[in-house]
Order: sequence, then structure tokens, then C-alpha cells
Amino acid sequence: MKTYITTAIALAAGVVTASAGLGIGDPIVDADVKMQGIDGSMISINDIKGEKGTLVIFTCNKCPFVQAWQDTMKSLGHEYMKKGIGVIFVNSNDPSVKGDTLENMKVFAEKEGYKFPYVQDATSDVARHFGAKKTPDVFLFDSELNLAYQGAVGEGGRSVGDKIWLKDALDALVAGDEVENSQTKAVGCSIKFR
Amino acid sequence: MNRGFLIILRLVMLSLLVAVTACSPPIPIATPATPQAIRTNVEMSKSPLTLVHVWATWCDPCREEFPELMKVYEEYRNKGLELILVSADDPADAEAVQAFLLKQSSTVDSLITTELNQAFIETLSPKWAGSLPSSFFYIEGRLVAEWEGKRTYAQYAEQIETLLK
Repeated sequence: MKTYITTAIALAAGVVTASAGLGIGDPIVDADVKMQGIDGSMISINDIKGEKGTLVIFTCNKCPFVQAWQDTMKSLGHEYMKKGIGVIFVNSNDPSVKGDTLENMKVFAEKEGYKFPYVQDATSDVARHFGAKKTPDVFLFDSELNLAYQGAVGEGGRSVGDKIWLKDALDALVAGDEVENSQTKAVGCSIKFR
Repeated sequence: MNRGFLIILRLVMLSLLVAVTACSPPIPIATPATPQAIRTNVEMSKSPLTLVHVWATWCDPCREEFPELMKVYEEYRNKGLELILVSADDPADAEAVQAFLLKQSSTVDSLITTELNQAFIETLSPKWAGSLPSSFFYIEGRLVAEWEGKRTYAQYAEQIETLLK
């Protein structure tokens, strides 16, 4: 009885939050939204979409989890661009909160040697519509722009760890296979929404 | 100065020192804990409502929210709320975590999770996306409410009042 009462309280209060946003198999949203890149150009996800799939990573400049995964994310981006995957890194943070200004993004991207676009989600709406809540947060779409993988780069937390789930998902897409482990999680920094 | 007076003076000073020490709040400590140990802490809680709050010293919204959280705890600790702090800092930085707690005049210790992986996330809630800060409310070890991101004192108070009814 007590269990039912507790459940009723929780439901009545509307407090158990469900994860909103895209689910596995859902078609992409906001693919035509133009976002400013570090070179000043306006780029949409449709502009960079790949023949085999499209990788969108919500990221930033300073989060310790981004820093821990940075080399792996960047390497995967560069490697799979050559294999038919479109790659774009999106920064949805309010620049007034953590200093993620376009200028700082440019400095960061140049230091990192990004060969793919790093763009600013100027309203944070792309993150909202995707359901991205933290950095890094990975969304990998198949060739039809349906969500094939979402979540963590890999199994590690403070460090990379042994299993790089995103690489497995990318390999599956490139091979034309189903992604087996399609939804994963890791702790990250909350996106500072505007 | 006569010897008797000096002895009495020393006794008075010692008594004052003991009294001051007894009245001082305990120094908060930061202890590494596995996800399983964190879960055990939740299940062992005897309070009507247990709030698990995941935070980190380097996380801006966590730091901004912390004073509000402490006010919430001081208001509701005698009304049935237990607060379990879980830091996402590196366990090697336990001293920095403790220093932060001291600076915030925290009356609550903090665990430092040894893992930040999917197993840790699912230990607290299968619905948690993993962002910091995050808060989880349990009644008798059962998750009844959760949210991601910082909140105000008023938002915490409203939630706690609802769950304690």
C-alpha cells in the first residue's frame, strides 16, 4: 500500500523526469538549422551529412569530461570522416557562463587541429530538440539520418577506459550493420542553456 | 601570583576549551565510495526522505547551488530529511573536496564516487542522463523524484514538502 502511495505522490507531483528528445530510430531534427562555425561560415547538419552516417557531438571547451575524452573524440572524428561519416561538433553553452565564446571556440579548435566543423548553437535550441543535456553527448545517425547511437563515447568515466562504444557504433554503420549497443550513458557537465 | 590562583585559572581555561570544542560542528570529511557502497548508504537510511545530491568542486552550477542546498538541509534535517552528498571529483582530490565543504560550513560529509560510468548512473537512476549537478529523492530506498541541473531553495523546499506529506 505504501508503495502505491509513494508512486501516487511522485506521479501527482510530476517529479520523476523522463528523458525528452530523440530516441533510437527517430529521424533527426534541426538538420537544416544554420549554426555559426569558427571560420564565420553558417553550417547546418545537412551541409556535412555523410554517405554512411552523421556524427553530432555536443561538446565544449573546458569540461573535465570533454578534456578526458577529447583525444578519442577528435581521432574518431578524423578517422571516420574518411570512411563516409559526416562529423560536426556543436557547442550549445551560454557563452556568458563558461566563456565558450566563438573566439574561444576558435582558439580551442585550432589548438586541437579540428578538421571538421565546430559550431555554436546560438540559442541552445538544437541541444534542447535533440535532448542533449551534457557535454560530451553523442548522437550518431545512419545514412537516412535516423538516430542509430546515442550517449557516451565509451565505458570510462574520468578516463577513456577499455571499451569505446562510439567506435563500435561507427564501425557498424560503415559496415552497413545494426548498432548493437545503441544507447549508453556517462557522467558529463550540464549544458549551460541560454 | 599565587599557585592556587594559577591552578584555578588553568582549570577555567581548560573548561572553556572543552566547551568550545564540544559546541563546534564536526569537521566534514570526504570519503571515496564505490557505486555499491553509495547504494547501500541509500538503502540503510532510516530517514523518511533521503536526498542524494551529485556534485563536483569544479562544477560551476554545483558551487552556485551549494549554499542553497545547505540551507535546505539545515531547515529539513529535523523534519525527516537525510542528505547524502556524492562528489564526482577524483578520489585523489579528497582534500580539495573537504576544503570546499569546510569553506561552505557544510555539516554533511561527502562520498566521492570511485566510478563515473554507466553502472554508477544506473545505481542512482536508470533515467539519469548523467549531467551535474543532479538530485535524487528516495523513500525507503525507492526513487520517487529526480532532477538534473541546479535548483533554488524554494524549489527544493517545495519538492521536499510534497514528498514528506
